[in-house]
Amino acid sequence: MANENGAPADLWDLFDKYAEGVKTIVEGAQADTGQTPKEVIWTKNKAKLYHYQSQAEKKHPVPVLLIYALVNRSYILDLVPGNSFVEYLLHEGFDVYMLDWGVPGREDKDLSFENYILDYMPRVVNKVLRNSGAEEFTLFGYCMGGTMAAMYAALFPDKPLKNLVLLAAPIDFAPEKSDLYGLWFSEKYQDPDMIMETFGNVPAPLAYAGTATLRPVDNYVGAYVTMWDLLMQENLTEGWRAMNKWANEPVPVPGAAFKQWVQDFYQQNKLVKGEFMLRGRRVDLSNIRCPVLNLAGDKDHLVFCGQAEAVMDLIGSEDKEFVVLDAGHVGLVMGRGAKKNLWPQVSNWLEPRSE
Amino acid sequence: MSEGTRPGTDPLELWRRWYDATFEAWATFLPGGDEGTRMDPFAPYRRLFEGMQAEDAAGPEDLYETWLHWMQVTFRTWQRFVETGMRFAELAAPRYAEAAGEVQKQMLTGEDGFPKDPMEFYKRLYNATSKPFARLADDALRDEAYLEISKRSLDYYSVFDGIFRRASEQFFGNLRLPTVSDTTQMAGLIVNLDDRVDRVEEMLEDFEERLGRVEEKLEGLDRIEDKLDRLLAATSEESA
Repeated sequence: MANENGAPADLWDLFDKYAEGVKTIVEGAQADTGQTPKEVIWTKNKAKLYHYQSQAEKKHPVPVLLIYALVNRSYILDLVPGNSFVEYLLHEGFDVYMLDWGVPGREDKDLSFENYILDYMPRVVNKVLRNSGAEEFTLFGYCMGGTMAAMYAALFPDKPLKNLVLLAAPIDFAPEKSDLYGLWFSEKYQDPDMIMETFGNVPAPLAYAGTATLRPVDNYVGAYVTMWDLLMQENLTEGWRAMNKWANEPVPVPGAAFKQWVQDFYQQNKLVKGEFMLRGRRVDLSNIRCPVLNLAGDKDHLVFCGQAEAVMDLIGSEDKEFVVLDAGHVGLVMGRGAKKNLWPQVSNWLEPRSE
Repeated sequence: MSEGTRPGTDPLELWRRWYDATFEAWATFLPGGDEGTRMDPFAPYRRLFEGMQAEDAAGPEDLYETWLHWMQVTFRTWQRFVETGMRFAELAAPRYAEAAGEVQKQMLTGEDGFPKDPMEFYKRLYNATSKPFARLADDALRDEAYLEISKRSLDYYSVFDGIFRRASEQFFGNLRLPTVSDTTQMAGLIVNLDDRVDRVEEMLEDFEERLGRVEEKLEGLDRIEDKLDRLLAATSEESA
């Protein structure tokens, strides 16, 4: 079959696919992410607190507050319709809120964990309780957000915190447990002061390179082999586009927080030793007494199971559970595996604890 | 650097500043760069320029010493460069052999035979070689030489970025044009204002909540007052 110019249709189709592939490589994949309807109920500096709207009946009075890391975009938890953890929780009858830290500017270089944990989070919790009318809430932290959630829980262990869910949350940063990051962030090879002095914040491309270089063949080559394969077979799937967009959209990390992350966590492992201080307050994980669900992926190359598991021996909770899932860092929350494993696991655990 | 010299007026002073700020990073870039004498790669020229300006100009002997030193340091730098390359080749050789074996197994003698479709060819080539190359990358990323180079690259980049940023700030500042620092300062003020507004909002919310609780208590008092009124009325009726 030929088109009006006399060229075979297959050839034009090939050109179109080639053009799309090149465009995706050059400009990055485009996808409509974070589509679940939501209302911004609070803002402070760049941070926003979302309250997700749902037609589904609210079955559980205890709202769930999701917190993600400072290093990437939070919409990974609400990727695309049909592949969204937020959407799933709403469908299961939970009242869902998410704290999005936003994209820090140069003026935010001095934001540290003190600001995030002692200023932002308590304020957000008050907003969630006021907005939902609930007296207690569930805190869900993913990746660095999990570490932050654990720190919050240690500093504010009593009511209103009802449950704590940690997903791929690094707690133990000992070099033998943190593999390449442990090596890269060691005192010998990393000087966060210099980065902070030079750039203020850790530039987004540097933050991206720090993650992508852990698996350079997969991230710099494999992703695009898959892209061409999908293109040649039919077309890029919405899931691939969304994932590629998210992976290539890092955010700068505030310099002061990065400095603490490297020096206090990776280099001195203060959290596990009970030596981490926030404005003179010791972050003692044994203060955590609420029910805790701790999840990790056995293929996670960013946060290893041992790093996440360490919290189990440090917290004072009696109701605690550690679950290892067959997934990588991102595969834990999105994709077919997450729909089958993580999402129902979290929902089933939360249901009886959200009455 | 000579005291009191204004930057940007004297080319030699400019060169010295550039050298002072960047050479440390250059000199220690390669592994092992911390050891041995550091040397400006352009030292002979620098000495020559200095000599042309200064009254106590460097004599030919002094210049010869400088050249000799320069040669030695250049040689050592190249030696380190070759050693680093050899170290990488050492890591790469077994992985290349592994990749070649996989290509042989999966593409040439495999059940599906040699792929005719170009996309299929690249896909199978990737599948055959990705694991050995991923292992090679992993080996390299843990290697002392790589870690040293990457640290020094970052140091070096930071130094240059810092110099460029400061120079730009100064240049545009002299032209009375707003710079990134100005916008950052402005943004910082807005963030502070936002923070204060948020605190006021929080106080108002607390106040509203407390007021709500007081209103609830007042309603309770109203009810007690009603009861007391009824009781008084009943007592007066009784006594009448």
